[in-house]
Amino acid sequence: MNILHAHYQPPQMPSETGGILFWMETSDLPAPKSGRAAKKEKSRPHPFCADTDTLKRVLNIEGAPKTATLRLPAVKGIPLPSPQLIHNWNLDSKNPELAPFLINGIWTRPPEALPTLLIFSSQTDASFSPAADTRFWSMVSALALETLAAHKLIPVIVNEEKNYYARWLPILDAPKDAARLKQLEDAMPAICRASLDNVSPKNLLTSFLDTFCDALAREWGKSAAPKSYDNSSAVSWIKALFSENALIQLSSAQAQNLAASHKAWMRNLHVAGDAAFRITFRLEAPASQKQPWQLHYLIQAKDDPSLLIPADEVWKKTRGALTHLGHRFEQPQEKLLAGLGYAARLFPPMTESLRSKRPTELTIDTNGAYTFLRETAPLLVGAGFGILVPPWWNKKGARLGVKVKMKSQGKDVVKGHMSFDNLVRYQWKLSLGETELTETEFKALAKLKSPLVQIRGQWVTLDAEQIEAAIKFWEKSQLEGEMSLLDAMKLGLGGETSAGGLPIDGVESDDWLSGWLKKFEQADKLEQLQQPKGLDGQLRPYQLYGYSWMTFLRKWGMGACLADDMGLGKTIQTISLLLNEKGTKKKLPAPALLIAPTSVVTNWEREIGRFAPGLKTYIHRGATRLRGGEMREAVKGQDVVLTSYPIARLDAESFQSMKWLAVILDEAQNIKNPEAKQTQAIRKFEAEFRIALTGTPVENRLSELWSIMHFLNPGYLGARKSFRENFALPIERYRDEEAIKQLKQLTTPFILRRVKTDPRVISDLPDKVETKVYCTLTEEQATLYEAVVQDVMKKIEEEEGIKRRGLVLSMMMQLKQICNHPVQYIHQKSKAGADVSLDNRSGKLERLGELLEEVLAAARNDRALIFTQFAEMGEMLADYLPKAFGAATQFLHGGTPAKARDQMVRRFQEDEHAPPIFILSLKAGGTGLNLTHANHVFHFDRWWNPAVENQATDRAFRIGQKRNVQVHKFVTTGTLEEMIDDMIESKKGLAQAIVGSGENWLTEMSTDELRRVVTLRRQ
Amino acid sequence: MPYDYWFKPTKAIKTKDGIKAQSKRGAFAKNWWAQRWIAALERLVDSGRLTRGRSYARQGQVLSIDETKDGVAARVQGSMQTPYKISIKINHLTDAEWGKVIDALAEQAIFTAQLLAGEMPQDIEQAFEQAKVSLFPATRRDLQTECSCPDPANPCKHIAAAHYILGERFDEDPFLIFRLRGRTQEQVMQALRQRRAGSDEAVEEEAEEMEAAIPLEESISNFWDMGTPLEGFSVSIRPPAIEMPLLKRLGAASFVPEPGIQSWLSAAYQAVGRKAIQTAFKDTSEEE
Repeated sequence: MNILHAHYQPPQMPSETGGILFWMETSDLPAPKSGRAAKKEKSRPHPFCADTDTLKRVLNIEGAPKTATLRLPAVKGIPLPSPQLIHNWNLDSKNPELAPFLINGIWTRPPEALPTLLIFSSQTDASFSPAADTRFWSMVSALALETLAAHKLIPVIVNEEKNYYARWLPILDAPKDAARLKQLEDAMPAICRASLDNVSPKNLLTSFLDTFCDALAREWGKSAAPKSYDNSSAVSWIKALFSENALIQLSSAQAQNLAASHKAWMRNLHVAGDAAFRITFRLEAPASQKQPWQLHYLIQAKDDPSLLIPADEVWKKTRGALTHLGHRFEQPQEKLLAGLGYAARLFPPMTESLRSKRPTELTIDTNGAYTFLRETAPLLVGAGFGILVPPWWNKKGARLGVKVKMKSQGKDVVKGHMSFDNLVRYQWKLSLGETELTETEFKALAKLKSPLVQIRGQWVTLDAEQIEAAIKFWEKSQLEGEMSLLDAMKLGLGGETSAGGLPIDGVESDDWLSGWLKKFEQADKLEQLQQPKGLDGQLRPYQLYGYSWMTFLRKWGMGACLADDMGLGKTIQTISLLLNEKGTKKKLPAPALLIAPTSVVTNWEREIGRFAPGLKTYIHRGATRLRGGEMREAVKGQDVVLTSYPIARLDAESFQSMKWLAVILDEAQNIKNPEAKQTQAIRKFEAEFRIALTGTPVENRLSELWSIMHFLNPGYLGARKSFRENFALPIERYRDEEAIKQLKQLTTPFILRRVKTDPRVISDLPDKVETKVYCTLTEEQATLYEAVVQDVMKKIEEEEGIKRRGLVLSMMMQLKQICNHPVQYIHQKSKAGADVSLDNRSGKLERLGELLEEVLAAARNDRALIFTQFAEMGEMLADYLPKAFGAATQFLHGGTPAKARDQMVRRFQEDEHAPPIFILSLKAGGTGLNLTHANHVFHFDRWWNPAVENQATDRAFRIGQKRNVQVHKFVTTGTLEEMIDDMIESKKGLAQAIVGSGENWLTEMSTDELRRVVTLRRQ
Repeated sequence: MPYDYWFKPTKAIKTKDGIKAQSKRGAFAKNWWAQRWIAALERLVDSGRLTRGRSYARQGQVLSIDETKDGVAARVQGSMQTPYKISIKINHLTDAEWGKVIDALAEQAIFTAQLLAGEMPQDIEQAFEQAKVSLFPATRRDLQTECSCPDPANPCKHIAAAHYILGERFDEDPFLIFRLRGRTQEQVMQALRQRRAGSDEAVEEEAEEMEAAIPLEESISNFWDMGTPLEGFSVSIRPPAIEMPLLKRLGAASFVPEPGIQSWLSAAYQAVGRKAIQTAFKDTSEEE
């Protein structure tokens, strides 16, 4: 496992450039040996720093090897590993102190460092993870990119003794920038300063931005640098802006003269204010058209726009600075005056107001006000001034816009079978404020030739550009027609903001349509259904809502994605939906096809059997499964057909050959890859409606989101490529707020996600939820299982007494091992070393993996305990899970020394970086410990003694637990595990008594009874 | 050009290191106030010396030009090995005269506003007239010049050359004339601030505290993590609404030759912006 660090090193002199030293911690090396604490001033090599060849291979970059000395927290001469590093070293972490360590890395200049920073900061898997410093600098370099993209940099001259350098300087002075820079400053991890701790985070951040912007602009601008040069000083400077060493080739008198000119030119850079305050103009409209307008001069706090100081208060100050509620504005009078002088150049009418001694405002007429709003204000905003315009300016209704009227098609609605393919009649209208305009009315208004007109006391703008657009709109657009319900929905949800160059100001829909749209936006507008008939169980209130919601979307032929957290009951909500479809009918009009991961198919069968025995279920799997016409015949009378993803792909043709009532995908993240054959095959299955179930936060995994939405409502989110450009990349890499907002608006109607901590869920949820996790045997497991049963049962028949007892217990043990994993049974691990693959050989392990993935994906600091009675299995899990999920584990077993045991428990309870998975052997960890930090408990194999299991569960479920606890008990179907589980369930009270201690009671069974229990029931 | 030689008996030694005038032909100085400065000189010098002074300024014969306590000191490379030393001074106004000037300037905010924005107010001379003094040198006595060259005429072509270069500095910095008249920008501004506040009390300056770095030792417990989570931190990588907004804010740079700084750098800005967006949105995810 590797952790990638990016260490930014600033330039030491103006002639140098800074860059990134990439280095990597690796746990692929032997455990570091502790020694005496190093003498403070002497640095020693970092013991688990990857060598530069490995680093080059992993990052695939060119760069020079370089060393650096970093001061890192260390104990006994060993630096503490970063918390993300998964390792199995036993290191002391008490009372660390800073000590210098020599690290080997690859040195890159900004142009080479940038792609690596961007790509690797979001890549995390079992073998690789970026450290916080890498993620931090990646975010800062994204900010540098934003600056470069927006041309927010200026060419400057930097002087160092006799030398003058040409540099590109980023200017971050937009209103939100001060707050953003402060946020970065506070976020900077201490490790960023490990080689230069006398530099403040603020200075280091500034240096990074300056260095990166300069180096990148120099490199990227080179090809477009001016070609024809004359011999003036300024041209030498411009040349140096694109040269490698940035030195301006001029005599010092020439450079000095140039620098003086440059300084004068820069005078207006901060003309609008500084980091804390800016100069702001507030335009106020008169009550009637005949009265004049007022333009007020003010000073405004950048981080608190409501903090406004009028100019006359500024004139009263004699002090050098203005302080107001902790904000400090240096030389406010001069700044205000300079700003006014600058603004007056752009807006000459302002000059008159400056004839007074202490100007505070300007009076202008309507045309002047319009010119200010339209022409001057954007320039002033560009220069950093604040503009407070009348609230109606540029708003809906205060300028020309368009409205669309939508009308539902009567007869389809009545039938209740409207769908995405149904059509809505639309009509576009030109609008001005509340008023709809006919062509004649519009022409009359246009003739007024006044850019600001008052209509019924409301000011509205009407400029030449808009008038032009309106004429075009009339001429070119299709003003009336029909559109799909999907398009109507997009319009209704604000998915479109303009039409034909004019802003959309209103979407008017008839009562039916607007009522319909509201149901998507407001939960309380949705009709709550009663619990369906035939449901054996009680729906909790939020489940009732989820089921009503799915039914509502289904009614309109729209696909729904139920993305509730694990344990909230997606299964029972889905079963309710199907029961509701069935109603009082004997069977569904066509079967619903439910596709789930192989390991969960059985779980579905059991759950349907338990909650809705009336639903006829058919499982399509196994080597002898029917295909084509035979399959169609077989499923005819069924309500639900269950199958797995792999089989859905293999038998795609059969599934495509009939029409289903529904296609339901469980763990829908299985179709996250839109190019995969499986995804494409499933997308072609024909159905009246589609449902996707997933427990992962789908809204954060955008390619997955697109693929699922594409399955549910094809075309709604646009083509994949445009989706990546408009949403996925801006959001994933840069958390673009606009894009996030728009996407949320578009997808909200189709995704319902409740998490365990939702207030409306939490009150419905019991503190402890126990579920059985049914899993199946792989072919390898089944073969081994049957062989053992056959072999041992024969011997048991021939033996008696102690010997028989021993045989029974040994058989039980072996069968349990097989259910866990074939490798555990064969003890392959110890024989063949660590290279045996555990993947795809145990249904139970696969299922555990799927559940853990959901637990870890929730990103809520969920933590899990896994109990097993076999130390060998625990060791296998401790070794396998980190590799498979990139999540660290701790393993506590009988052989763990008391000191290490205490340390593990303390770490799990107190350290926020502790491994989220804690594996415990039932004997060593089942009693006594307090592990309330866990909110999931997995019983990987069973002790068949509820008391023992409950006691283990209570490690997490006890006083001090603040969250709901989910208990997952694994049961391998068709095996002794299921048989015994059933026996215990059917006579719980009795079982308590019988099974008092251990599993000895099993040995008391008659041979026939025993055979019935252990024989494998293949499915 | 051999015949030139005969017409120019004192040919200046060429130099590469001198300050070249921004103006390549035609009139020196772009703004009226700088032109007024040039005019003050041109009244005193014959046209031959002015022509040679202009070409000296354009060829870069002025080696250095520095403001001193009471004027301007310059070095100009002439026909002798050692450059000539030049000084240009204007009579300082007395404190009383300055007092009256400040009074007049304080009457209208526009004077300060335009000066601070880098512009000499059109009617500033009237403000000076109210105080019965003149801003620009008005008479021969106002402008005191000296040169170490053998030319008996004063001002000579060397003085003229330095004067032209100074004229270009004026273009960029209207406060230069104030300094030559004996007051810095800060002094003028402070006096004006007091007038606006209507009091004579001394203006206090408050010091700002220094930015201190937190010692690394104090961050050991949280050494590897973000100090505060970067939640809600958002970046929008987009092309600019207005191209080169900062260059537009700064306006024309008089020291950059035609066609001006925006034209010189426009292609580079676009290339940088384009590349930034390309890099930001380069899709590196492997399509399966």
